[in-house]
Amino acid sequence: MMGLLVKDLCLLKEQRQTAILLVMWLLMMVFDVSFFGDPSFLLGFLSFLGAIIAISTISYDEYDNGYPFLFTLPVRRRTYAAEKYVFSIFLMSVFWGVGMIVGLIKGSMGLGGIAVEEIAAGAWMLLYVYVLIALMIPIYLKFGGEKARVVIILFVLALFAIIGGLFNVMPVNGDVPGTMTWLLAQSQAVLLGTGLVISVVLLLVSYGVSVRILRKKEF
Amino acid sequence: MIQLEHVRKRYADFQLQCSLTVNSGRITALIGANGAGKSTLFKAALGLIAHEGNVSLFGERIDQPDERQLERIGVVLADSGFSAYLTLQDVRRILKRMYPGFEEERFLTLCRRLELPMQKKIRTFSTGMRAKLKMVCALTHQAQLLVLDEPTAGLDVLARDELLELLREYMAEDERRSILISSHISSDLEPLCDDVYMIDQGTIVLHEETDVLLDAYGLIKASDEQYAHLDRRYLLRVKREPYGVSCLCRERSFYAENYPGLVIEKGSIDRVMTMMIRGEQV
Repeated sequence: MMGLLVKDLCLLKEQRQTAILLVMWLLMMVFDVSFFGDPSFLLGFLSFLGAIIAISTISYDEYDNGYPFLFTLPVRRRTYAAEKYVFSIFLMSVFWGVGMIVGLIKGSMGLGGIAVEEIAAGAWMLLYVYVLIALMIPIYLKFGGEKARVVIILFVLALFAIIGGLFNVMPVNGDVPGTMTWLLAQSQAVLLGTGLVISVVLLLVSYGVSVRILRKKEF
Repeated sequence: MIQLEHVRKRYADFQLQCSLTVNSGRITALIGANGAGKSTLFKAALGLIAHEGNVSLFGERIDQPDERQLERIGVVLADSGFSAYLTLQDVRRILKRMYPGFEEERFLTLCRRLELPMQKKIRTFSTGMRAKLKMVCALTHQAQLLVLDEPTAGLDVLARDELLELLREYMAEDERRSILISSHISSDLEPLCDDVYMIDQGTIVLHEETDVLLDAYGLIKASDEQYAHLDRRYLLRVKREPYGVSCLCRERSFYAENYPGLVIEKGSIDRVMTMMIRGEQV
């Protein structure tokens, strides 16, 4: 696992353009967060950027037929899959953490950063991106970098269509569903805890799917 | 060290079906034309493709090798290697954390000896430099077995000789080590290998000790009349030629003694392979 993490960190050096984007984003946070209205959007974007950078290492691995050699190194396929999750979660959490710290410092100085009561909203952004990587990693492993982008767009469109469809068939003037009543009654901490548990479960299911995809893959 | 028993892999237009053994302390060559199935065989041996039949590594039957087994193997693949976006400095860091037996000093020494720059990205390397890098990676973690698919492809004579010298040094360090190597340049393999497998259309057509192949095998060039009177017991393949018939034989000395005047050339891997593939069975 350590060898793979070192490899991905070395490959990060290649992504200079993304790094420039990241620095610009942080500068925006420092100088004018109000431009975006909601600081949690900034944190969400930073986490998303971290996840995208981490997942793009899959494309680097497969580039120029790199996979066969990679799996002759002392790396089991399940270790490779696990490393992609660890690296993604690490990178997006670091990006999110840096953004949060910068925002909080600005907030404490009264310069319009992140107020303490907005931390929860920022945390939700992190959980959303956890769910996103749970979706993206298996698709990248299954279809490869090029096709995965198209598949993810189609998947998200299908998801919206299904959710939209569900809302359409739900009674507009009827009772609020039981789950919604429960959600509205809970404190932010309980909701965040529930969100975290759901994210972890989704990540574990996603990891299982990724291992299955890699085990069946031929190089 | 490594054993393939009745390994079979089917594709739409190709089928690999073979058995092969590499014993401890031996260098075994796999020879065949492009598309004969060499790389498929290597991938089956390394668990990179699903297949029927059995593969054993270090005495254990495997489906896909685990970390412990892979730590003991050094691999060179013809068409795959480290990401071209990495530098040798990166590769050194990665190998150091991948292999408990990584010999950092040796890695640096070999890079210097083969004139591989540490700071440049692999994508700026020439074909020869990439081939050398692959070999350095395979040789610097105390592997017990080397699996080398076309390690000298694209190299000039001097570079090939340099790499073959590295392989000799590797074998000389520990007599229990083994190598499975493929190449389409037979002159690389003749002085190096203990035994040779020849593969054609996914099937092993010949397995022989290199010494036997070079000493006992021969190519008879006979007129039609000479061929008509030839003892066919030791003839393996025949092929029509403008002058008559060329025959691949196993007991060269038998024909030399019993047929004075018959043109018999010494066996070589290239000659034997050409006849085994192009010739007809007697």
